[in-house]
Amino acid sequence: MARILVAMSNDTSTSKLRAILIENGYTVIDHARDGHECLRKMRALKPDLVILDYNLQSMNGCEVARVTIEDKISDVILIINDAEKSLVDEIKSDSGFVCLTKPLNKPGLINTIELMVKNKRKIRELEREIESLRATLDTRKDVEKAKGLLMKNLNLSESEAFKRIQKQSMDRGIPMREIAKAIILAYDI
Amino acid sequence: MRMNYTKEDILRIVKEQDVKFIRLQFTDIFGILKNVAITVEQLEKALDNKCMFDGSSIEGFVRIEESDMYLRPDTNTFVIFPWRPQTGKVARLICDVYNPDGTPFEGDPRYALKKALKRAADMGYDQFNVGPECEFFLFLTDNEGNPTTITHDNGGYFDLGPVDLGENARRDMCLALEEMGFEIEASHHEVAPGQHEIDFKYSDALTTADAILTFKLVVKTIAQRHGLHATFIPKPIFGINGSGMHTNTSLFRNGQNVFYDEKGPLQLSQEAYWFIGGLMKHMRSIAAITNPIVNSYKRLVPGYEAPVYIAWSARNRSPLIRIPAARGMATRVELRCPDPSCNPYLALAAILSAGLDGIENKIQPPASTDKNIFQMTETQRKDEGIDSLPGSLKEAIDEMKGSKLVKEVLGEHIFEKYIEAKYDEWDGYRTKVTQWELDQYLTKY
Repeated sequence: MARILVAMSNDTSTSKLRAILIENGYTVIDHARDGHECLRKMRALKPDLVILDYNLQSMNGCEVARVTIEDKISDVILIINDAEKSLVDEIKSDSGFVCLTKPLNKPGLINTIELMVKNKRKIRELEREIESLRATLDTRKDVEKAKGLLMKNLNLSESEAFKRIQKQSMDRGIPMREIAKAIILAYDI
Repeated sequence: MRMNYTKEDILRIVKEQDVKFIRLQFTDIFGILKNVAITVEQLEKALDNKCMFDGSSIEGFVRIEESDMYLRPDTNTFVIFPWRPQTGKVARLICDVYNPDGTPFEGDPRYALKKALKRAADMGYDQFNVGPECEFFLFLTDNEGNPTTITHDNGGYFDLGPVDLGENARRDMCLALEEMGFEIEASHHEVAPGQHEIDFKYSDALTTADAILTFKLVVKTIAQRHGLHATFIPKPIFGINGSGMHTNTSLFRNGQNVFYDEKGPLQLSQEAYWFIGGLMKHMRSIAAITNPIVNSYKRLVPGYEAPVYIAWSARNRSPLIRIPAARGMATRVELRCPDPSCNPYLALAAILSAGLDGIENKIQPPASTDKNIFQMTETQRKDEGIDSLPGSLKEAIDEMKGSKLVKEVLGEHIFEKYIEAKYDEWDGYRTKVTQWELDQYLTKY
């Protein structure tokens, strides 16, 4: 379940919010009373989500949210009133950032959190997938190139060249990409 | 980290990178960074040296009646700040300050350093390399965001314990600095709790002075993003080590390190000895520049690895001037007294000029002191002719006031304003009633 950090200057609001969150099965890992404290705790505890009030001392909620989003520390829900809306335009477009206007209603808040947690999970999955695809693609590129070099310089057929790289990789216990790179480098010199 | 940019390069990069604001930076005579922020539309005008500002509003600059000053950006200092990556990037350019008649402004510290470097060049030394080791403290802030002197860690020197907040912050600082073109050589926890050090690669004096300013800005900014306060004051807490800025210096002629001589004693050249001699001779009078605030002199006390006595050694680490073991191109003289509250332009100008004066007048330094000076008695020190650094800002300014060399290095304008302001600062301190006095006397009398 999602780990949440709450940052509000008012202790009563904090405990109310905390109660709502716990009721719905979330873990409130800690709370902060001012902007700097919130940044420190966020960086140390790495929550999945931080719920910020706009009115924080030392650094307002919007500034904290901006740093949080830019440094990719956590997702952010920023609680504002209508008048403060125009102040947060700059970061509004980020997917890990939601503004909620006061007064908060319980189901609305919980739905939002649910949605953000789901989204985040999805994004993480996709990121991982992209990462592995990219790695595969990079390997393939290098292996293709090395294969070409072997075929040309040693007069091998394509499958022979590939087998040779594969065998080297298995014999030495080195990834194919590294072998391919070494071949490219060798012919480069 | 110094790039070779032309005006056209900068205009192009600004467009490509979607930079929205440019900060034109310079310092007042105390090394405090000043910004004139302009929008990207005004950049071309600024690059044509047409950007004007009101000099009378800057401390130690000019009187009202001569207030118009021009900023001439040094295009090679162009860099984009790595934070705020989302929208509206911000870049900066360090500027020289010029008078309306097109002459360099005498009160610009950067100009003072350039003059000192010119003098070195006239003597045949085409490069003066400087590598600083900047220390600083990271403190927690209170509920209102005001800095406290409370640290969040109990780590000691080179600690590799569980990652603490300060370490995270320091790592981000290094990353940001690297993105801005710094080559980070070392970064570690220092002796005191909450104290950190980040060393970046040496470079020529002007680049290094610019870099020190940038460094302080980056450290402070990133610390804030971590909910911490970074401070460069030399001795924030009584009883633990203070923050210094050990300064490694070397002189070059035609690409050769002139401090190195294979056959010289300790493999140091005659010029190296004279340079040390000059530094030692003038140290007391340039201390007000290398250690410029009241607090600086609370660091220069025995017991905390800070130098107190004017001596040099190739072996032990306690004296003012140390010759690190590296030889060849890396032969260098390390001055251990400067602290990071100094104006880097003036401090480097003063150090260089003192050394050059030593070379010019062939000032032979006294024999090296390889014993621990702190364990010597006063008579022993007297016998060996070991003088000490000024004990207070007042003493340092008094020394500086009588120095022809300093007056020449700083130029009359800065010299006068500096002394005046520093006496004011001292007076402000002297007349305050401190907690110490209350603790000592309130119940006794």
